[in-house]
Amino acid sequence: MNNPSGNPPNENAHKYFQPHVIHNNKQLQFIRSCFAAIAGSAAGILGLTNWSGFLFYALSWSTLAVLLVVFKCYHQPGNYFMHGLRELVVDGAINGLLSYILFHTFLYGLVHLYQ
Amino acid sequence: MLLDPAIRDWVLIPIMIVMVLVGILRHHITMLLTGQPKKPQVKAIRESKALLRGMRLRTFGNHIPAHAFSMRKAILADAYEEGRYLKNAGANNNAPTTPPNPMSDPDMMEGMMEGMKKQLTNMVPQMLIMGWINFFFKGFVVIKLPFPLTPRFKTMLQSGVDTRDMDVTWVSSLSWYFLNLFGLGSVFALILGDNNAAGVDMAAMSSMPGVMPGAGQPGQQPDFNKLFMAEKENLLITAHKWDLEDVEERLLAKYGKKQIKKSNNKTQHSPKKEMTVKDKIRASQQQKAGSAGNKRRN
Repeated sequence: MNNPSGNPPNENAHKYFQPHVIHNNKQLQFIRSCFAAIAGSAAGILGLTNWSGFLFYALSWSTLAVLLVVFKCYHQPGNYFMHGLRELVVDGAINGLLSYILFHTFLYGLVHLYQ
Repeated sequence: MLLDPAIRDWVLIPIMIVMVLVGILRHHITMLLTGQPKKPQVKAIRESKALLRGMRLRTFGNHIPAHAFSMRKAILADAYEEGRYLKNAGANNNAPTTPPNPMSDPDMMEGMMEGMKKQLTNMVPQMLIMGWINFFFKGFVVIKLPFPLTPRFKTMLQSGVDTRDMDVTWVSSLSWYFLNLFGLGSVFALILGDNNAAGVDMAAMSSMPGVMPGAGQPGQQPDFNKLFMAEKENLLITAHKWDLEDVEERLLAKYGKKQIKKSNNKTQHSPKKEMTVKDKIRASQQQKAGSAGNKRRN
């Protein structure tokens, strides 16, 4: 069976309660979508360019990950996600980057390029 | 450099709005086209479950007593031999060894149709919008990218504008279209909920060029007849030893209450004497060896 995210299927998968796993993943996707919009808009308005733009993305992504792990996962991301910390931090990074770039460009153009 | 706000009002925002709306439209059309998720067929499920049953019997056979195991083994081996569980029963013995033709198997045909429908609904709007943008919004820059790119991208991103000196960061409307294409996935996730058919699908995009009609089956359809034969062979050679066979003896020996009778009468134990741990282990091992020898003789 194809695994779209590319992760090797976890052998402990049967130990996880599937509806909860799905719910957690949905919440994570929602959080990430909002995060991409907000962070991108902030970067655009601030006028960050080149490397500082990407740096801002990395910084805010790490902040989000830390906040999630500390306040929502109670320091145990393995209890909430099948692949634990990696799924929380690494997996959505590229998708988030694309949305971030979109909003960053849009707001940057709106604020700085047009009268 | 500042841009005319008319560009913003009449190009930037309309392109974004159009893409969002087309995405929503595409999502709803896909929902209408695909309808209810297909119910899996009983025979197909039975095939795969029968194979799993054979494997399970092999793995956990030691949990059931010998007579139950041999009965199940005989029944399954017979069923595999005769092909009773097969989906297209009766076509096996003289069939050529080619894998089932994708055109003739109706289930796979439907699977392929679904895939092609999805690809079509993804590609047609993209082509249309690209054509529309190229026609109407050609020849001017729309926005500045906040990050630098190599000069090689100039021809791609500044398609209509032919100046040589402008930065690559000033891009035309087509590249704004691409930005939107990739970035609106999360917006669709927010608007349309999770399982939306509107975001760009990375896997589908990367596999698109080669796959379209010809390659049909992404993986070889397993030939269940061969699998059943292999499973039958494996079953027939599986040894069986019931885990609970002489469990009473072992339990008693473990707690040192068992009276051990040895054949050579070298050491006599009185009935309630406490044995050392080494003696207990030796005793239980000899007990097991003795009972195994009894079984073999029978």
